Amino acid sequence: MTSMTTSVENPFTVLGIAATLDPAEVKRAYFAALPRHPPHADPQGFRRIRDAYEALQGEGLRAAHLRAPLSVSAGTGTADLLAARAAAVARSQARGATTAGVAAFERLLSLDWSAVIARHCAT
Amino acid sequence: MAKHEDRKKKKQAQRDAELCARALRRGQVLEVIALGPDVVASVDRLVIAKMFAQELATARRQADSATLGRLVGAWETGAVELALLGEDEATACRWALLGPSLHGKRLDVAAQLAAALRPALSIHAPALVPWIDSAIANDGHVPATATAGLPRLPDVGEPQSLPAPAWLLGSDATAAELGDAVLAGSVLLPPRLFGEHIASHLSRIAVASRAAHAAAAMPAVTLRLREAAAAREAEATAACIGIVVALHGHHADPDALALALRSIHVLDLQASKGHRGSVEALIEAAWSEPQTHALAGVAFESLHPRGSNDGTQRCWAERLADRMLQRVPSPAIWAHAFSCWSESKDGSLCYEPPEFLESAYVAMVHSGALAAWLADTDDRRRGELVHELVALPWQAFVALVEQLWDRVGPLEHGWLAEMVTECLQLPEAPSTPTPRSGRPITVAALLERISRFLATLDEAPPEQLLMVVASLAAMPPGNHVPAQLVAAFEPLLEANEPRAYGGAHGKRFGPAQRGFIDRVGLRIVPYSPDLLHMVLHEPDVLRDGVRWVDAYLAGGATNDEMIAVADMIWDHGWRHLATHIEAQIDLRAGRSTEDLAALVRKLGTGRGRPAALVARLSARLLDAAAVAEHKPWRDASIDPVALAIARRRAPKPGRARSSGTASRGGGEGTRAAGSKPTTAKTRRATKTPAAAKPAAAKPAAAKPAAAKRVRAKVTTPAVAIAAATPASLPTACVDEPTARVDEPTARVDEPAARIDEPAARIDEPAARIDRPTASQLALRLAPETP
Repeated sequence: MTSMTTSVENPFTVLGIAATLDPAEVKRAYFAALPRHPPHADPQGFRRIRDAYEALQGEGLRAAHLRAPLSVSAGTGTADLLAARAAAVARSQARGATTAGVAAFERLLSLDWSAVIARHCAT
Repeated sequence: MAKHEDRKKKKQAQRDAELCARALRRGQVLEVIALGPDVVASVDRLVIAKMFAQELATARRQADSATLGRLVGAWETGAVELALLGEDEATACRWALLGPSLHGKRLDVAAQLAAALRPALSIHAPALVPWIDSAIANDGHVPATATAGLPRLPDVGEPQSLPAPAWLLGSDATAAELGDAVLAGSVLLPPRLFGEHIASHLSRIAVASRAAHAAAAMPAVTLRLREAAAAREAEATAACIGIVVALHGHHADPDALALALRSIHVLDLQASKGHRGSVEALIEAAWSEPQTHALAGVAFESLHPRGSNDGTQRCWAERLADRMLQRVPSPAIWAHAFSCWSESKDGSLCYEPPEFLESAYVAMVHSGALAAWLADTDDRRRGELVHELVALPWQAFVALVEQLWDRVGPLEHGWLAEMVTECLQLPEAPSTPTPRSGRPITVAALLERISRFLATLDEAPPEQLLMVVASLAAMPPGNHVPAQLVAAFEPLLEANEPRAYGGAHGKRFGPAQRGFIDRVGLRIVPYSPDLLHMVLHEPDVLRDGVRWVDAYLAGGATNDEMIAVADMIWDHGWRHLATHIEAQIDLRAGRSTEDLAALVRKLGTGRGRPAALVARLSARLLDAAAVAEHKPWRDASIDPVALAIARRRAPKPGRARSSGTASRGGGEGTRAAGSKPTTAKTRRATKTPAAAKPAAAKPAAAKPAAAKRVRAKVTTPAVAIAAATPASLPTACVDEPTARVDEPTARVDEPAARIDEPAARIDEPAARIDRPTASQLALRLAPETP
């Protein structure tokens, strides 16, 4: 998978959009970025966004989408999910603590009758 | 009264003692305890302690709430404590009764139990102490604040020894409970253990509810996957990918698959081969989903890019491609896998492609999917791939070309035609193995092969060979020839074995090849002279050869190509085609003077060709040039530039070419009568100049006057055009005297016999050639003579 590692700049980032499979969105982002980097005034910037745009054409869009780094916040409803998870973790910790305590305690309390007899005989 | 009371108590004690004895006999320790502390105290402590410990253990194991409830009641009387031997057993009993007392709202008992447990809990589970106190204070319900504040206990050992969050849920747990547990477990548990527990839970519950549980768990898993991929945690990512695939098996979720595909790049599959299983399963699952199909294809191609030299990776990718193609046939995936294989074989022709590549190829060709995909792909990739396809079964390739022909542009027809022609040269049926040294071969078979070989010889066979043949002929035909003798013959005979077209004997097309040729051959033949050559060897096609020749010429054949076809026809003696091709040459020559000059030049160079045709065209060229001298060039359709060039190159007066040149040229235009269709050998053998023959010299001597007249006109501009075409026009008419004298011989001797020209035409060349005689020509050209 070394070939898939992002050694070059992520074209979605260059165009200022989240990774997408929608060519229209890519096109919109490119034309929105063009006025900021006119070729005569900023040839390097223009070349950069042009390269990014060309990298997202055809099959390149899917490939770039696969290589694009994932971000946690980009997911739909992630904030709600994170909050729900925090609550669930708390509950689970409580249960876990209880359970862990019970387990540890009960390990101590396991009634081993042979031990009871032995102890009784000793007394 | 007191006496009565005493008697009553005594009776009660007796009754209790009887009940106790009976209960002890029956092993009903709870009945004994229920009789009260006095009765319990009267029993041997060891006996009752043993029985009670067994009963308590059973009740705890079975969560027997009724028994535990009775014990809670008995504990209040103090009878339970009397049945316990030591502190450990007492703690165990108190712990077992704490839960039932809380559930039964017997908070006073619970408080007493908690108080008794406090020392042990403070040591082993201190976090539970406030939790229990809180439960007692809140009427048996534990407030959330108390629960949330509980830390994880450090003294419970490794996390692996813990039951998973799912363990909290029984098989009757709801999907929401699982979702909650998975949310927590995704954070609290190591990823791999987390996945195992989810899989374990799903396997425990009923099949009908698995989809709902998987759907409830998926958000938590994808969130964890997103986090792991963002943090580039390979292990966690791989584990989450595995969970996503497992959950997808119960509840289809293309978005989760797409997310998982996007996280593959975090994994280093070369370094950690353990991740391949997850990735393979993911790609296969995504491949089967319409929404993620294309993305899975791109992911697969990214995993093993073309040009990669990693053999292990390639094998792995091939296996994956095999499974993917079995699920959903895809030309793109197939093409990628095939190209990887082609690159890996590194020019080794004996390296067979994997079987699945061949079978998938054939299937996709039959379905037309490959042709449709190739038509849509870019030209360069299509060209690369089609060139590689020749390594696969030719039948499928031929069918593919048939499907592809109308889908691609005309610019690609040329190379497609070349490639399909190559395929058609292969034998349709698997050839019978050629006898090799050591294999038995019968006398008859060897004699047949030798006779085929002898038929190809232009010269007399060697004496030794004839002697061997004679000895073989004397042997019984069914006998086997000694292996040494076969081995000695093999190098000699092998070259003459019938193989593909172009072999000594040619080979008929098989039914599939013939079907292909009948269907699309006429469309392909303009792009492939080899195909024309092949099909004309087919007797059935040859009968209809005019159509094939016309189709070939209609494809914009150049003069060279047309003459090459004509040469083939003349060489093979296909008479009806010879007439036709000459007519075609004539027709083309009539288009313009330039064409005419080029054709005359081509026909007159290099090798012997029908002199009648050459002479006719040469004369027409002269006529055209002569007309051009008298008329405006526009009217005469003469190219003035070509004419000017010809004039400039024309030899000066008095420097006409010698008759030796003419003799040589005339000789090239002739061919010995009755000669076989030319092979390289025979052509070399028949290159004797015609002028050297006595018969050719005679007519020249018979017409000295005419020869002189024509020689005087050699420097005319019209002749200059001919002279400007090296060794072409002179052959028949330019260097007139000798050439014209040679001509009849050449025409009689030569192609007439082969192309079935009527005898009358052979015998009267001057009359049949549609061109001016020397005297007419001289008169016509005279005004231009300086």
